[in-house]
Amino acid sequence: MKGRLFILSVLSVIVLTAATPSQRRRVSPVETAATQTLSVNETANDTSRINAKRRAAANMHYVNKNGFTVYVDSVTGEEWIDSTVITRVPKMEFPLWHSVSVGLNIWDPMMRAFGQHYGIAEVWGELSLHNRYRPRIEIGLGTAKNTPKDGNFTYRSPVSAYFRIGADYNFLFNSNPDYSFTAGLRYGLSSFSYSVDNISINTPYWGEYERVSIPSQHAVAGWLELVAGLRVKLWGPVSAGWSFHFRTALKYGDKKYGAPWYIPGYGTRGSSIGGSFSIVYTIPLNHLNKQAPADVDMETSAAEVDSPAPEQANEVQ
Amino acid sequence: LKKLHVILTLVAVLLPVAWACSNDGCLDNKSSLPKAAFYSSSTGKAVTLNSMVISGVGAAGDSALVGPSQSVSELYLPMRSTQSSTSWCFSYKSEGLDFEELNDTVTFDYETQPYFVSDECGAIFRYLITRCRNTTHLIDSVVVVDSLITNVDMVRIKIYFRTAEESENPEEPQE
Repeated sequence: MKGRLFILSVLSVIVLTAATPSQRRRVSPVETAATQTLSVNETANDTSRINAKRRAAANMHYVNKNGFTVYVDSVTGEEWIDSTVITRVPKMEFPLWHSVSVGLNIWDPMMRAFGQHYGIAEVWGELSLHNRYRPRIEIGLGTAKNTPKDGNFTYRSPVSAYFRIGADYNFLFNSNPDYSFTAGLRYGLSSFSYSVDNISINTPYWGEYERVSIPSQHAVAGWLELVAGLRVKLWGPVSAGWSFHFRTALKYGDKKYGAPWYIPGYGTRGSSIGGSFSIVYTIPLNHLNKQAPADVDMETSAAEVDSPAPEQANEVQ
Repeated sequence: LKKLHVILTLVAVLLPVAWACSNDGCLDNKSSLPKAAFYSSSTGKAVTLNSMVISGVGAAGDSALVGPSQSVSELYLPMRSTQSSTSWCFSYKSEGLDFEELNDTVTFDYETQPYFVSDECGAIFRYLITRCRNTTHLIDSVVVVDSLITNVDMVRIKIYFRTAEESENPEEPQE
């Protein structure tokens, strides 16, 4: 009996010894304003931040055209923009690869209906960068046959090709791309031949009359053009464009039998002004500007999310 | 922005309508006519001559370019396009000089070339003078200023005459 009492008393001493510190903390806790502030995480239950961390960790995001990072929920596909982030608004409202346009210049066929004696048609292609810079190339065909009413000759120039290369600057680059007002520079080059037939020359004093021809001559002409243009959307991807051309610095070399009257792509030698009217088809290049696919980890389930176009993302915002 | 679009559309539509074609016309001659001017050989100054007949050698009916009643200081001497040489006869009709022996002849040898000038001026013959000959009865000398005769209106030939101040005895021909 004595032995049992001894064991019980030893155990109770041990238990009491072990329990004493905890009882002491409970009785006299150290509570200050500083310890309370440090211990409370006020954002711990902020679901928006939790979601933000989760989405950022998923690495599914892209930058929209306004410079905001758009996160994509890998489960629901929902898009989310961290609008608290300070972003620099880009100078260019439109993306680098904005659009590509092809045009058919029908100015010459139209003017032929009004009595013009030269020109066929021209096609051109243009790349729009940020809807602001527009490098372009133009290729056309020209021919001429002219017997002036009061003239003493027939001028002929067989079908020849010409090329122009240059660029335009769109002054309305941050405006509605359906309208544009541009100025630009071109360099034109044409290789062609020409002849003058049925030349009749009278010398009344001597009572002489002669009919001669100038044989075919070949020429290579180069010139510069300053261009101002307007373009207006008609419907869908189709628009109409007008432009005014001031041509200068024409070079074609010295010609024994006289300089050409018509230079394909330039027009007549004596006139430094010209025009164009084009029907334009524009293809947007938005797909080249998507950054989201490059950032998506294809091994995650987020790869199944179909990211919308940047324009759609902007609407969400 | 809407206003801007309306303005742009209007300008774009009206641009072709307002388009104006320009035709400068032919500001030069429509044929190559060498212009000759008369000068005094003693003073070198331009002179106006009268009582003189100028006609082309071989022209139909010996038609005169300048008659005796006309005063002339410069004139065009058209070339023969079918020949490689053209001659002009200068006959003096003033008192004491009206002798055939005193007539002067000026001959130009040249090469003819067709040349297209422009839509407005058309095609012409251009002449490249290779040689100039003349008698020296009352004509002292003939100077070809520019041997290429084009349709540009400028003096190409200068004819120097022995004027009264210099000529002590004009009746005597100076061959």
